[in-house]
Amino acid sequence: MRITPNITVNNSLYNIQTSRTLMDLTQEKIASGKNYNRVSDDPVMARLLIGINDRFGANEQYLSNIGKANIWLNMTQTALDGMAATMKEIKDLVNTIPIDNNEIIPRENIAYQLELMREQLADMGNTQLDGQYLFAGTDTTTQPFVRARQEPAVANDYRGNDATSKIQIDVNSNETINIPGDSILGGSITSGKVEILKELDELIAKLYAGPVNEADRTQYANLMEEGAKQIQAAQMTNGTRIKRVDLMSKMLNNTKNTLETVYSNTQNADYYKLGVELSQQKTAFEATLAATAKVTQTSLLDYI
Amino acid sequence: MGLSAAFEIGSAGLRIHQVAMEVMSENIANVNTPGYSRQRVILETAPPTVHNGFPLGSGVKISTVERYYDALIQKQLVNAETTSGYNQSKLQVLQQVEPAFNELAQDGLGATIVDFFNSWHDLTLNPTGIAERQNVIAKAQMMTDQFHYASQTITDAMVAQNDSLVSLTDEINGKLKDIAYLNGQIKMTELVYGNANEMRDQRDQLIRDLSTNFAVTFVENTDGTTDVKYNEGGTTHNLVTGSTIDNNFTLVDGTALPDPSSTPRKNVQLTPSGGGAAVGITPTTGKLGAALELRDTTLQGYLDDLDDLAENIVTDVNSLHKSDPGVRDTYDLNGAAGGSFFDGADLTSATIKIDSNILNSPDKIAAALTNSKGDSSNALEIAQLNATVYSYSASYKTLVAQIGLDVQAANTVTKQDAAFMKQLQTLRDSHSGVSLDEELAALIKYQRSYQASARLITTATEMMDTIIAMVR
Repeated sequence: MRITPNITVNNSLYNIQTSRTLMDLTQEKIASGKNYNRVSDDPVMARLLIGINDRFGANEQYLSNIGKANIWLNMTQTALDGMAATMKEIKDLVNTIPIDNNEIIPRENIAYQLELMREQLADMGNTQLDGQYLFAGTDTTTQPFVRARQEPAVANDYRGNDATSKIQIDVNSNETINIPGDSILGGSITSGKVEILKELDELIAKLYAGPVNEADRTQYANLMEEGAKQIQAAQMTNGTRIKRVDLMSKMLNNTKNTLETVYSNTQNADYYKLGVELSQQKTAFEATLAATAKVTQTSLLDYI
Repeated sequence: MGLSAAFEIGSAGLRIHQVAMEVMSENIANVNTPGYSRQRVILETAPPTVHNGFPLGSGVKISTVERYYDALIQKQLVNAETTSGYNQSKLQVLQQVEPAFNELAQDGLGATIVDFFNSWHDLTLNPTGIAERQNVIAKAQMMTDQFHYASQTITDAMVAQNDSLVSLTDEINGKLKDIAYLNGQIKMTELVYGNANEMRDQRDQLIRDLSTNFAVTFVENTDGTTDVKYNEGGTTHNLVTGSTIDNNFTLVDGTALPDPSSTPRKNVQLTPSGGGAAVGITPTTGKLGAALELRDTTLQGYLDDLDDLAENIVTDVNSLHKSDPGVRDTYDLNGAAGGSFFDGADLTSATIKIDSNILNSPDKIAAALTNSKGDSSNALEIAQLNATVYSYSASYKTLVAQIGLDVQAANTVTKQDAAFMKQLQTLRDSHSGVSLDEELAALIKYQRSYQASARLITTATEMMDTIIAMVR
């Protein structure tokens, strides 16, 4: 083939351009620390990476949901623990009520203590988090339980609703975070539950009115026993939720680690490899330049 | 035969080697001229005459000045220019659009879609929180902004392609005019003087330039002119016949472009220069084909996908957010029935916006399915629109991958085109290109011949002097 100086020049320019492009690509990878800087670098890989990013984003949201739900669940747990402890004291106290005793002082003393404990139960039922009542169902801005000496006086009944709120803790997986108060301290919405506050009010009224017979005492002792079980059941439910959410959080963190590993294995630039590549490319480029300069310089013109 | 024959031969040698030098100098001068084909002088012996019973030559004469030209390489170059023009245009435009969809940078539309739906998750945890509600509006605002930006990027590129048709058709018409003019010149020159090498080179170069815009076919005639034609769908349109232009490329307004402020889509047609009805054409090759395809298919396709995505988000979120009395009641923070979250009348990516009622009243976000403030079940359902199947993110990802694939494909073929063009150009240069070394060698050769011819004349003069001295 006949070679003219222009062919040599064009070839050199083409090769210089090719070498430069390669070096630029390697330089970009090193500078950005990423293997893929544009979707078009490798659309299939890019799709995978974007997919991982999406999973990652969703994961972070679930973890954030769980973090916030944990506060709610732990507050609930604290309130329920308090209620259980109070119930235990109430049970003990009910058992000490003297039977058929006309003496006013011990009766009233017990009645007064029961009153305080009743208020304590109501207060714990009215626990708030961030302005929301924990035990009001979804009617979180309404105080669910009435204090006995509340002003202005309102009907003594559960005033929230029996709805639950859910949050998402994983793909296709929701968790209820609240326990409506009527299933704990009772209310007229849910039947079959002991209305602890109402029963206590009746007992207190009875104690102030006169001597209590054994049948009454047994009845109230049984009711309080039932009530304590109700609260224990709520504790169990809440405890299970804390466990589940905790487990899910561990799983999500595991997934997060896996995703991070896959992502960085794919996307993070391997500096050693790129460094070697770059030095190879640099050598080739310098050789190209040197050869080009040598070949294009020679001309018959220099010898005539 | 007397001494005068030696003078004749000598002077012809001087004259002819001078012409040869001129051809060499033309070659040297045009060493870098695009499309120039090197020329050479074809010498032959002058007709012999009979002297003293012997047929003897009467010197040298120029048969022709011919150019090194390969019609096949020219045809291949013309085809390659068309492919390369198409691919380069496409790559250039797609590379401009790609950054707007570079989700690897993690801050594009895809991220804001995820953020928007995540903000509903945050609302499920505290449905009465005004901060959470404002966050939903802020994230929706960011998402709509990103939609507008992506849509604007594509629309701008479409408008740019549409506008480019004007300069492209102007350029084509200019080239057709030049080709027709050169055809006339070549025909006239060759009738009188022989080969019009330079003009042929110029015309060939013009055809190559023309072919970057669309696929041309050309036929060389016996009178030296070249006819240029354009084929589409089995119909051949004459563009240039001899020295006349048959058709000019003109533009006619078509349907509207997505950007209402821009001029309508321009359609290409061929208008006979002698008057007559214009014929609509849709080139699919070269820069012209690339501009039309990008405007009407590629970019329009991206925009359609983006519009679908915007419409789906608007419709789906609204259908959950807006109260459907008796069927699916939704409630805002004040217990009123939920309205539209996005403006239901604006369903494209360019116009998607938050409903004006919601925009300044975060309490009007309907997070509840029952009339209680702490109910967040609707917020959860809206959040799960995206999260359960990644539906919107997934369809957006498909679009991003599609754009990436298109750019990658254009990149690959452009690289191949460059390599192919380089190869063809090398072949052409190998055959037609000027080599300075060769020209310099030939220069010395002709210089020596010129000197020898001159010496011939000197010698003949000396001989003549000798004879004259004899008779003195």
